[in-house]
Amino acid sequence: LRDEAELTEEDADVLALLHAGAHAAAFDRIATRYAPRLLRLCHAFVRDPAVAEDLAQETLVRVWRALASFDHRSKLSSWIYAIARNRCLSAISRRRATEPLTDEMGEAIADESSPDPAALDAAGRLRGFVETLPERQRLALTLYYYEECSVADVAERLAIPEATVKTHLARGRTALLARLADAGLAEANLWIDPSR
Amino acid sequence: MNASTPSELALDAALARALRPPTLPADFHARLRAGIARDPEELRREQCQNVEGEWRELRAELRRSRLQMGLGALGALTAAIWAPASTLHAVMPWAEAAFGELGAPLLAVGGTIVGLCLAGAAASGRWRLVE
Repeated sequence: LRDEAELTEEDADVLALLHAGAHAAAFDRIATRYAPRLLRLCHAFVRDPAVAEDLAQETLVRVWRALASFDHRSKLSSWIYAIARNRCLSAISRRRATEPLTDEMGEAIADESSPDPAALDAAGRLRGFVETLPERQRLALTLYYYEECSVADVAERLAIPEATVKTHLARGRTALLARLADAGLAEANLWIDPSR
Repeated sequence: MNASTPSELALDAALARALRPPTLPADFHARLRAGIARDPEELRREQCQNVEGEWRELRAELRRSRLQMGLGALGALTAAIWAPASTLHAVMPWAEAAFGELGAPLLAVGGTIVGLCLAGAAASGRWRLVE
């Protein structure tokens, strides 16, 4: 796990470029460094690869436009992730507003979130169960594995304390095991695909 | 995540395999450069168009809601006129037989009391909503 000092040091070069007024060069480094992370963060939020990509792009465009006004009061990474989270939450609320749930749609989503164990492979089955978790647990769990099991990274992406991330992870895992048991998949070999 | 039991360890391993992060598409940075190079004025126009579109949708939705409310009010008014008239028509012979000449005024007083009670209940409900 990377600690706070390492995370701060990581952007020292970008901050130095910003101080020197080299915004284009600073942004190039930001884009290279943060694009994959932003894509993972946005994907964890919206769960749609194409939408996540657009949101990551939008975030970076906004970062570029606001870079000159970055006031260094917060960490650069926290500032960038805050922009990304806001974009994701806006996109989610826009989607909810423009696509009101009809009864049929609600049922369809409910069907999707209760996967038919026989219809999916082991990984797909497990992803289906993760989708049924409460939003915060799902988000923490997804990001945890996206970010190579770093609690610190998840906490920074979501702007919540590490202890809270650990709580969400523990509750999510317990809930998953319970749901797998309820679905008759208590045996580990039923949801672990040995071929993968 | 500190997995301790065998099933937790197995779940941890399975989740690591199932939840694979998305990878950056090859053209991501090219698209980003194109996005940044776009004229800010063009971007502003596009955002304005989006906001105007959302506003138009909202207004249409409000108009639809108003029409529905109007139809509902018309229906309620029709029912409010016809329901007492039909009730009166059905009850009047019984009231006249039971109370004689006092039957009609008694029905009128009873109807007024019921109406006032309903109006009072509706008004108090509205106040509660406002508070």
